[in-house]
Amino acid sequence: MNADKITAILTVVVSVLLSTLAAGANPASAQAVDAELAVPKDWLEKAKVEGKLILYSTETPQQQTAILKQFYKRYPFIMVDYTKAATDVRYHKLLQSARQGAPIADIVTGIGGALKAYIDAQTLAELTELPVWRVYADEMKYGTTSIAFRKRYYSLAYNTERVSKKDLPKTWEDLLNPKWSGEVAFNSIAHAVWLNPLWHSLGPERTRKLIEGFGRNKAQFRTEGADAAVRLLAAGEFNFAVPVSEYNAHEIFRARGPVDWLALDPLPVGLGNILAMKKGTHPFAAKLYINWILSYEGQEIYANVTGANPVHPSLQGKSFNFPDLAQRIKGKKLALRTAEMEMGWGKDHPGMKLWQKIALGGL
Amino acid sequence: MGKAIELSRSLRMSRRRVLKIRYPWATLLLIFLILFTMAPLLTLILGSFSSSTEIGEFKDFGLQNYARAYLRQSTLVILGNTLGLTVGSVLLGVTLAVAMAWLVERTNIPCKGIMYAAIPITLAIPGVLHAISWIFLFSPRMGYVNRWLMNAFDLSAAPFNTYTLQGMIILEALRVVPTSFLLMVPLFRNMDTSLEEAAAVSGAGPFSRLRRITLPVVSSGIIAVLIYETITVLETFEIPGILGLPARIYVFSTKIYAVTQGLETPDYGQANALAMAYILMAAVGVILYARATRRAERFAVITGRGYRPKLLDLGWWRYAAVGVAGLYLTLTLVLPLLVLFWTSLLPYPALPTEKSLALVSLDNYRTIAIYGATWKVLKNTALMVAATAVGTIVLSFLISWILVRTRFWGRRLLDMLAFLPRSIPGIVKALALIWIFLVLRPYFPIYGTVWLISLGFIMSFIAYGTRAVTASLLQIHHELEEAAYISGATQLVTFRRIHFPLLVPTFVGLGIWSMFLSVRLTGLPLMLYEGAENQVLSVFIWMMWDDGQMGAVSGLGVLTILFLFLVAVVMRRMGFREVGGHR
Repeated sequence: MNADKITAILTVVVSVLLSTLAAGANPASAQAVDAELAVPKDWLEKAKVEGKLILYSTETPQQQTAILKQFYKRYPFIMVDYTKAATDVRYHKLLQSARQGAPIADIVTGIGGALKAYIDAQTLAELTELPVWRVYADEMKYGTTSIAFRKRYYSLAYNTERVSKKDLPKTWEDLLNPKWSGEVAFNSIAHAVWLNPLWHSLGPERTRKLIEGFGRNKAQFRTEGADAAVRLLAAGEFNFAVPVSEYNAHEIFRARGPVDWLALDPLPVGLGNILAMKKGTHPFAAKLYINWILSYEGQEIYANVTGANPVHPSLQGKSFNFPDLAQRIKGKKLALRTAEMEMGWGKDHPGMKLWQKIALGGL
Repeated sequence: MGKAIELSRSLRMSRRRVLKIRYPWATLLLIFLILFTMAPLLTLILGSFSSSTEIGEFKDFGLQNYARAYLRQSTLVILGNTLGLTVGSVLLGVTLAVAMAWLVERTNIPCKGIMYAAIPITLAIPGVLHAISWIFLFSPRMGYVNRWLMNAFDLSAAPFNTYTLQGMIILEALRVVPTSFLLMVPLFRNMDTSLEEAAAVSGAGPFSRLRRITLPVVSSGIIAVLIYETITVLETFEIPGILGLPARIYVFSTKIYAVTQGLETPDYGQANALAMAYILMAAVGVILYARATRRAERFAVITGRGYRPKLLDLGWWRYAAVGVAGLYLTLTLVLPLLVLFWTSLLPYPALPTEKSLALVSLDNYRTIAIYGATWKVLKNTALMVAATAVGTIVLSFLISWILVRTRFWGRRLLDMLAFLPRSIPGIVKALALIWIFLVLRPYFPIYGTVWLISLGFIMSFIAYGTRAVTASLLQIHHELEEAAYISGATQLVTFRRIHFPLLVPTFVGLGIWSMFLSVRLTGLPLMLYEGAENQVLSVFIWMMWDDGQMGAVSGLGVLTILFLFLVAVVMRRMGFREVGGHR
């Protein structure tokens, strides 16, 4: 994808955001919510017969319990069997089972770079029939089988006891200052959610210099995920954690941990997708769930429980983590990671090769 | 005379009857074991030459996987790390274990009761929890011990770094100690002391006697322990997984895990090729171990009953010796438990300060209780542990029975097949099982269930299970069952009334041993993990750690360790019989 196309997409996304911001905090009306949730009657009947739904996602079980509490109010006849599934399970094991015609889950979220493999294997169900499908702009969808359901800003979190406000970096390059030698830690998702959009936003040359600079400045390339990284940051294991979503940092911030979040320019943005398996054993329950989680009601609950940003147009501009989030990201160039970018980010991509060399030492 | 002839004929007939009945079963068992052990091996070998990226598919055979795995400098580094970790931790751990076994058995060191009880109890701490607790203690930045030392002595740098090969070697060595200790204690206890006494009469000093008499006498036993621990450490995953991966220090087990967990298509071909070197190393160890122990176990006799050799007076040195043992217990038992408990009370890891004291709560324990997956994980773990224990006991018994009580033609082959899977490290075995059971899924749907995890563990455990049951069976004389047959008892009644009661202690010991081990090991269940349906405790802890649930994982660790301690204490009180020992 060329830079013009990315710019065009970003323009559309930003205009959608701005228009919804302009709409202010007017919540969707009850009628609008009902319209989003108005599914064909036979879906309800068939879902009642199925009675169950197998969901593989990334929320903690407590969060999912809170989300499902609301879902059950709408659809008490569906019992959700939830698994907080590891990356390997979401990316590979579910795909393997789907290829064999017996997927182990009905719905999966956050499969990023594995989306192409799922599409190629023709394992995904069509989502265009969902009433809520038309609410979303095309930029939130990929083809007819994948749609975004959450948005995350991937920047950095820092330890407030070890880094003073005056020393905070203004750009990514500021982190290459020798005084931060060994103090910047990248987590296991860095190359996918941070490097990829930066590569497209900053361009290969500038990104290459940046990454090589981190290598020289003895950055830590760790294997923990972002959740663990932010706790290790609070414990003083390093001064800066990259990339960390604002909602992740807010969780520790709220618990009075010495952590705060900073948006740097350009600011990588990731859209988490949700998909249904074509041969899932509970297809109608899956439709109801996806339709509900994408509705105003589902999105608001999801954001309230997890702190992650919703993608529903009527909920834009409202903060679910740091109250001053809009201020924090104001003026920052958003580097959106699109589905095309995710699918092109394989081991043969020069960005991945660079990461392999610097972060993994060629391993 | 007539009665004697009749009795002899009856005995011959009963033996013939036994042989006739058992041979078909033995043949079936042999076929089963060939499939059971050879299929994974063949799968790995074929997979290592196949260029297909699909699991269960073999095509375009060539050496490309080997080229990718071995024609790079990093593989040499990994080989070096693996050998360094194995040799370093085994030498250090076994030396410490031999010293402590000698101290408690042959010297007048105080606090022996505590050492006898506490050292084996350290077996109950899963490797993942040990590694996690060591991060809290010895991480160069957040480690409580490091930070305390830096504050107390105004140090500019942390004195310890657990994220190094040396750090991994030390922790792994401490984890080698309890099994080696359990294996060494009987050797010191049962050795013939007449030579030592003769040396003493000839004027040899205590340390000269230790060096020139005691150690050479038990040297063959020490060699067996060294080989055994080498095989065990070679396949270890937990310590290098938690401590090595963040620092990018790979050993073979973690490298194989890493290449199958990529964000893109897993590189199973490369993993299989890497596994070959691993299997080769482990196979050499297993052959050496089998040779070193076969004779010893078959002809083991209880000697020296009621005999107590004269204990060596260590003088003031005994307090230094107690200090070393105390340090060991502090590092492996006391500090890990304390640090996990403290962390379990906090929202994020922090040194005990006024500020962090204000954050103390039981929230993490509440999280564990309401964490959706907890109860399912416990149920899965209980099922997996029970199936593993029962499967190991039954299969070990059947193999041992054929080895000891029949003249089945394939006995040696059976014995070899029982030992063969031990040479396939857990993580590699899981790789083969994924391959086989994904293909067999439509016909034999155990992929993605706890039963497959049990199967993997049983494959590993029957090597030692067979050794233990064989040794016990050899001690039950044929006369007992012959008397039963003459009295008209059927095979089943004979087994129920004669063999079973005599074998119960061995079965119980083997069951407990399997239970501890299957709860402690992470590599195999982690590779086979597919979701809620087959998530067991060790994987749950791993995932929670990776997820950043550090307080909750610490709380779960405290509860797990306390539960396993309780089991260990109860078993000890019930007279738990050691069966070969294992970490």
